[in-house]
Amino acid sequence: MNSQNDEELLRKDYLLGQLSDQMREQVEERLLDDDDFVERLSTTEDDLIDDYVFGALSESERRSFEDNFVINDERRRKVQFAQSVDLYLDKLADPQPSPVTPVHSSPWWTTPLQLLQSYIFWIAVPVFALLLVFVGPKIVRWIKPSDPVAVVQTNRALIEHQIEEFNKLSTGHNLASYELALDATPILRDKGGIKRVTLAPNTGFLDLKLAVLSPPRQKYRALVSTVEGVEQFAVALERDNNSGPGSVLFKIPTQFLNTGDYQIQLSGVGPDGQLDNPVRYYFGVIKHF
Amino acid sequence: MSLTEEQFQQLLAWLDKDPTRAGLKYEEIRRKLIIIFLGRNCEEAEDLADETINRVARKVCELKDSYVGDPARYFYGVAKRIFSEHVRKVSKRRRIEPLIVSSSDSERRLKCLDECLEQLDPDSRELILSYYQGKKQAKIQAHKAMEESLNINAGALRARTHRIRQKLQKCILACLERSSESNDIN
Repeated sequence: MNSQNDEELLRKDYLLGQLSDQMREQVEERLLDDDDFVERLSTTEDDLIDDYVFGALSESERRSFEDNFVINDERRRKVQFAQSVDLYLDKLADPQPSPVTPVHSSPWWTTPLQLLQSYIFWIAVPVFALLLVFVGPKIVRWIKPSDPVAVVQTNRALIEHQIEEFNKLSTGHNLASYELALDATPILRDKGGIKRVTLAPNTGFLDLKLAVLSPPRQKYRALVSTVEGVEQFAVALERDNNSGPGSVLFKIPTQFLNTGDYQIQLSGVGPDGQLDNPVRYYFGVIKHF
Repeated sequence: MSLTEEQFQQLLAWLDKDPTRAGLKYEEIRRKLIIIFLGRNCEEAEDLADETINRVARKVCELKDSYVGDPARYFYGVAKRIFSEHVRKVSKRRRIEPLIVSSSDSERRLKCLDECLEQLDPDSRELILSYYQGKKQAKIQAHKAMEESLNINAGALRARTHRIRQKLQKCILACLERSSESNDIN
């Protein structure tokens, strides 16, 4: 067996909790010193999870996996992810057959002529119309709050309203804040280039000072998304005269930020209400809980 | 006991003078501590990693002038002590619930997976779906074929799919959180 396979086996045994104390400490020391080893350990985790989900582990490995590996939420999520992909591919490969419809003896509602000839139709139409007039609005009200899209939109609107209110108040809160100046960047950020802030538990706000190159506007719109492009919130901002003509202050309550990388698209709002000169800023957040 | 802002800032300054690099080092050390505690079969790995960091942060005033070497090593020493204390406290480990996903949960997951796959660029989507195609021997053969067609070795293929997978998992998690938030409100 070559050394690459030996190391792979060592990583697998480490993750399954099958090493002696002495060997485990050797692995731990290695992962402190060798970042590549940590990355390889991470891909071994993926392989192990795949092997578990696709039934490629031996009985004793499977037991070790369940007893020693899936012991926290993150690993459980990874297993569930692999299970979902497996299910997804199964569904793609074998879609549900559509129900067979009988060719003969079609019921009265299947053709327009038969439908019009049916007395049930002529009774049903006025009843349905009455129901629509009297009960319809109530049904709409019942349905509306449970529409998940509407609820998510309402949540987002509430968050946006709160952030706008915080930005209108330049002072008036006692919470600690973290100040960060950002330059507009036309290029994609890389891991080394992005500015990251580490937020302590009691930091209430991230105070961003966004450098603006184009002629300043009084009003701006800031759209905050993850770097993957998932929109988080968009808020209207007013330029604070104290911040100077070349920058816009944007105060984000840290409760609305998780650990991760973000982008802000800042656009000026012209006199006609049209958005202009959009620029992007990138920043990363590391939260300490 | 949690940290004060001052203690936390001192810890970051000890890790690196540059605040951005200090943040990254902090995150890296925390990640490694979590792996170490998980490797020692601790369910509360994240809490123990945070406790390790807090304990080091409270000593950082004394350390910054006297300690010589990689700070990660110091964290490791403290982590081992915390592990011994933890073992004494926790006599019996709770058995983890079996990995069963309810059908409604699984539907939500599939919906989110579908949504997140759509957000990937076409090449990444094709790569990750091809990587998971097939079972056992067929899967191994398929991976070999992918390595040949992409002209990369097995390690590079795994690293590439690992990155896509991380992106997808993050996206799915966010999607599930959004959908459970809307369920909670209902």
